[in-house]
Amino acid sequence: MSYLLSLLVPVLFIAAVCLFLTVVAKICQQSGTAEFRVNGELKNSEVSLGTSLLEACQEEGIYLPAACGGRGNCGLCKLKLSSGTTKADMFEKIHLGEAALEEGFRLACRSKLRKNTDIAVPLELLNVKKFEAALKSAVKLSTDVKELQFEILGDKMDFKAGQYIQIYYQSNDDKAIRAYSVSSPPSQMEKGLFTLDVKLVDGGLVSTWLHSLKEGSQIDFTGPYGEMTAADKKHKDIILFAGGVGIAPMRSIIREYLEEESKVSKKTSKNKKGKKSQKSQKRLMLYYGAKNLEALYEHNYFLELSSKNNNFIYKPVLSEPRLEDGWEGLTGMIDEHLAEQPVSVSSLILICGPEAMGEKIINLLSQKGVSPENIILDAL
Amino acid sequence: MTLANAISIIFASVISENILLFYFLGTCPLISLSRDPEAAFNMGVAVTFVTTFSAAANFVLDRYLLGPLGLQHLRLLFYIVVIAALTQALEMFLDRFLPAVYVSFGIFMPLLAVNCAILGVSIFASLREYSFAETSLFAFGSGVGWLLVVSAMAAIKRRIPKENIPPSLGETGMSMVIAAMMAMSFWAVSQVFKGVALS
Ligand code: FES
Repeated sequence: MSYLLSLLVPVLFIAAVCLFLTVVAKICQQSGTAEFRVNGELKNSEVSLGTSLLEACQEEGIYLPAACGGRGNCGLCKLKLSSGTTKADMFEKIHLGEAALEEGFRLACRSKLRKNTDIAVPLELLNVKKFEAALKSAVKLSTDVKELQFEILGDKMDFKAGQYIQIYYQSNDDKAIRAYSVSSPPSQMEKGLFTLDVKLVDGGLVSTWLHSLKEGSQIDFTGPYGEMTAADKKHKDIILFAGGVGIAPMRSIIREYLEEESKVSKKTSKNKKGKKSQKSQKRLMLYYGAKNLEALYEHNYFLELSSKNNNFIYKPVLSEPRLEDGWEGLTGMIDEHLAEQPVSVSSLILICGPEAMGEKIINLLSQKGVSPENIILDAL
Repeated sequence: MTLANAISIIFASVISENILLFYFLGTCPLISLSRDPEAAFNMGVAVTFVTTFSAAANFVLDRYLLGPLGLQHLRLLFYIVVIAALTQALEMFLDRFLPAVYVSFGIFMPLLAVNCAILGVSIFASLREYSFAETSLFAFGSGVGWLLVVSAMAAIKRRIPKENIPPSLGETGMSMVIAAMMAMSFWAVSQVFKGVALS
């Protein structure tokens, strides 16, 4: 009898608790709607109260950057509210700071629609579109990084080398968004192809899924996003800092640079034989940090490139080289080696890697007199 | 419950037998929570809120359901369900009816469902066979005690980056050292009061 009770009572109790929660959820269901405007234009006059601004934007086909999938961790979904601001929560306070909050900035994933709202969305984000692609091939670059090549289905994406896309993952009980930099140059997109370097994260929902994709499997993504690009920039010297898988966008930038160089040199040899054009004098320097030689994928390619091309300088740094690596190059952290390196203050600096690495490099560079406008960070 | 009894429960739960520093329950947020004192305070308020409500609900459950049916050995299971349901219900309620309160500390509610301090308070209260009033007071005091320690810790942790701490210790190690010092100072305060009471 007591065994029966021990079984029956908990089951009945849990059922009662579920019922209670259903009733509470019904009572607490948001009722009412509000107007949702983007840059002053009415997009939807009946958005349910309580919808997050990120969701409201998605419904209208506006895909804001949201690398953390709306968990309030990345701070990328920041936007300005012209009207309808509500009290900011802890995540918004941490990411935005008092001054920005005062100006009306909020995180779209954390702010909910509570009244008529008007948000300001920059033009380049309005151009972000949704795409579909199918996996064409997968190549292992290191123990935990795979290069996935996709073929875009339908319209091509117009992007600049260094930019990233957001992949949408959905299963029966999970939903997630993750950001990945495109590692192929934009010229590949003309053929409808692009590649991503995907690092398998321990317990990572999306990276595990991407690593398990079979040829022909389809993905949904939006893009392009990101400011970390050298396109349209006139700087003569470009210094790239990549930490770990942060090398992906740099691969795109370097390949585009090489393509441009070869175009220019072809033109030059056609027009004025022997004389090099001014345009080809762009110099590229790559600092690439990884744990050990295994994780420093594409190392041989960069080595070869630097030996062939005088305008490309390659500085690999290993933080924990293994004995079998036989490493004789730089060790430690990238910033430790930057201190003694002379840097031209007019250089363009692009950084992609862990935030702590980026901050240290930025500090050092500002001490060297590089102005903040010339530094672009894409924190992983 | 006499006034002296009430004061001693409050004093013990906030200071001398602080749930965090004396029983080492609910330490994860102490170590991992950011250095933002405001966030720490808000989370403390949420913990106090949930601890008090859940201990009261668990008291009723223990006294009027588990006790009569002789199912006290299933206490843990029932308490966990009550805490999880309560945090969920409170979160929904605050989100709907008190959005301003929700953004301050409602966002911590899902984290609290797995906070061992909250479960610990309910269990201690029933093991000590407290009455309803004593249970509620004890739970409230424990919540306030937790709030006090976490807020103090956040305020102290803010200074860590400015100090020259041993690199091998790091911020986590330093947090443990700070917690140990706090535990000693809380104990010292309780001893002072004990001395005053005896004299
Ligand atoms: S999506 Fe990452 S903070 Fe909003």
